[in-house]
Amino acid sequence: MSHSEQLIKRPRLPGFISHIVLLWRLRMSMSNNTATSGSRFGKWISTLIVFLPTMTLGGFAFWFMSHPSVAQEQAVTQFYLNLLCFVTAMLWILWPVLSAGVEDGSERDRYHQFPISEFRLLSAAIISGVLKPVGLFMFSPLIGATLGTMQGQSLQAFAWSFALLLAFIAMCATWSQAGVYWLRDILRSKSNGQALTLTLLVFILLGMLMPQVDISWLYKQGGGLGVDSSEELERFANIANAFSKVPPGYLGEGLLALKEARFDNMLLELFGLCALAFLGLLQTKYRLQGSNYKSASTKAIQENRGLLFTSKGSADRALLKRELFELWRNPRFRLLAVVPFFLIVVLHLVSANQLIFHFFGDLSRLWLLAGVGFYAAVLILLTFTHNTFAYDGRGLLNLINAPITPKQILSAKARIHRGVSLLLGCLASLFYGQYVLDGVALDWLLIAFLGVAMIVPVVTTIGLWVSVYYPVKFDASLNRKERQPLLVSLAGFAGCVIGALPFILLNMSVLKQGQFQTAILILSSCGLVAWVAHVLMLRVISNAYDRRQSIILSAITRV
Amino acid sequence: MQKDNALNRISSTMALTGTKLCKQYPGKGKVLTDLDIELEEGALYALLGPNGAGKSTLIGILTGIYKPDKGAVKVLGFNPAKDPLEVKRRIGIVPEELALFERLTGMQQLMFSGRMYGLTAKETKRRADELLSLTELSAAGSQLIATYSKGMRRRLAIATALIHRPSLVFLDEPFDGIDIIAAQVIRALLEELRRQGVTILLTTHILEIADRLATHAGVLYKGKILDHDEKDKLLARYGCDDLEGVFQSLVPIADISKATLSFYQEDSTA
Repeated sequence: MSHSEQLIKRPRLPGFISHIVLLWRLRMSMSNNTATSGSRFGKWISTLIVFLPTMTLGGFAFWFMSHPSVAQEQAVTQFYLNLLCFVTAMLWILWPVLSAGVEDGSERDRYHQFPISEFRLLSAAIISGVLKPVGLFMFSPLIGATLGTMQGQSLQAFAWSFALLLAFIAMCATWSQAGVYWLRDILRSKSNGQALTLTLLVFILLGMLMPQVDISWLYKQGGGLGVDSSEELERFANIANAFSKVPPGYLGEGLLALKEARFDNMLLELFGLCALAFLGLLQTKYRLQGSNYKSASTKAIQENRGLLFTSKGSADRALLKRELFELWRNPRFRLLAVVPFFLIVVLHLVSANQLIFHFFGDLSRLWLLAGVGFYAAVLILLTFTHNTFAYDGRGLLNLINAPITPKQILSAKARIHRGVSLLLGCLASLFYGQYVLDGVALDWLLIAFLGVAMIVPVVTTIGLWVSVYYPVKFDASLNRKERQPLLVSLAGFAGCVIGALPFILLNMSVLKQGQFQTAILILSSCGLVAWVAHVLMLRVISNAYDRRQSIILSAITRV
Repeated sequence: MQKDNALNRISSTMALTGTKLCKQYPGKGKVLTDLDIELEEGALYALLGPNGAGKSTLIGILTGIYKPDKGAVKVLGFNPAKDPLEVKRRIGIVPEELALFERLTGMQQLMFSGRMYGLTAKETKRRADELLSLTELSAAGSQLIATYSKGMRRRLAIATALIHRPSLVFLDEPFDGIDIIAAQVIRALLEELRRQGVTILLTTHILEIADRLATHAGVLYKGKILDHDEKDKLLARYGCDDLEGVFQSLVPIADISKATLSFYQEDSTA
């Protein structure tokens, strides 16, 4: 050791628990700092908003599982418990995909200067992540259900059930973290477009081969918690058995084994959960180590970009090509373009749509047909049009310096964003109609398309307006640097409501009576008005953009 | 074995030694080739080199972020590949790509950092206040880092690297793209660290700053240190007045004095 270093007395490094506390406080500080209200009262309200439903859900799960009609029949207990475990695990593990993986607090480069080992960092990050409010929200029904199931058991059994629960949470948390890294690696890979498309195609293909889950018994039963016949009991038992064969079911099976004093079986389930959690941890560590590789700027992309502007054409055409290419090149766009189709397949496989048809009637098919289209279109618009200049970054300066008018810049953005979202919206509706509904009447499809065509100009207009007046910088990577103010998010929500309003009102009136042609006529008229208003507003927004160019530029390029 | 003994002897006077360091990335060729480096205690070593010379990779290896394919490293008596935690608790790192927590305030960033090194909350707060004041960030301490300018971020990153009182500090391009005020603050800070006997390894493109601050310098080119020594000895060896002259003597720079822009001479009206 060097001479000067020998004279310095270094403090002891934090232990494992201290690291967990530190990382947990780090995450909480980051959440608090970006909360919409910085006041103490606001923070109390947000805490209440998180904890009240959490406690309610947990309490309900406890009541449900300890209800005599559920607790007395082993097959019914097993069914509900395994179903809950399955849903929780799926939600928790798939959360990175559903939320486009934008948040990742444990990127290695943030911590590599600190004296903490990789494995310690990973474990502490995962555990502190579970203790976030969203984690508690996710697991509180499980805790309630476990307590409900184990009611009346010995203290020792409770201790073992706690171990099972911890192992289950560890399994979900590690695989969820692995999901975050996996998703990040895909989005950063050179050919993420191809990877996502291939995954989707394989998923759809497998989805077509797989039989749908039969849930007709659920609504034929009449709404009671328990079972009325031996046939129904057998059905419950079969499904519960099927759930028990997949990893999330290990918790339910373990708890039941514990309840029935089958100690060996319980240990086996506990071992299974721990082994899976360990595998998840290894997978996460492997993925974390690969996090230093950067991509995005690949030679292939640069070559393509070079070729993009070689063809002859006007400045407008070059602008349109640039916008389209920038959108396509954005990994977040590729992911979000795929998500609606992914969800449609999942919806179909778990027969959730059939449940909706049963409870809300035949017209709900049309709701869903248009709804998936709205979702696909709005997802793109709310992500990209609502902060459209942020994705240009410093490149916007090139546009400002070029001999083109602000109107040309804005118009190119509007044309590409609304065109792409319109296309994706209609494709999602068409896919839903063909894949889920096995073909659909032309007038229904037309209504869905017109609904999408109505919502697109409204949300685009609001998005561009927000981009001009509330520009916010996003990081070039997948991590968001700043969040848009609540007002902006509400503006986007308002745009969606206004855009969807004609469709909703028609559904509640004309369409209920089967007057489809009238609905088409009204929707076309509304759509026409929306598009005219959009074009007119574009001029106003262009003028505003002209005035605020320097403000926008400084907001989106501030380092 | 002999090499290890030699290294141990050197490390008693050297803050850092690296011998025969090699590093290669898959598909990118060799980044470092048989590189030797040593850094005396209390020295301010300016590592000069063009982009892609391997400066950041070398810092990565010396700080334990990357492992060398070949070669031996001792930092303050420890091997960063074997004892990364012992090394990290004694050194400060300011990477080129600043890795700050955007959604924390400046003060929160420092508090978190201090606690990660095992400092008490009280001691961390005391040091954080002093560092914020020294880096002219006291007023911005309660603001989110996301709102900081590049110069402010750089100053905060340096403050973060100093909170645990490191004996050796690595600064990768600390003057890159910052304003004059930030540059002045950082320069003053480096001078103060030197006075306190802290050993500093600094990479920079700005040779003027290296000239003013460095006691030692080395020129890294294509993964090899072409020459390194005390600054005065280097200047004398190459008969130059400043490090720019030394750099130009060592690194081949393309002659573009006769380059032309042919399209400016064309008659077209485009």
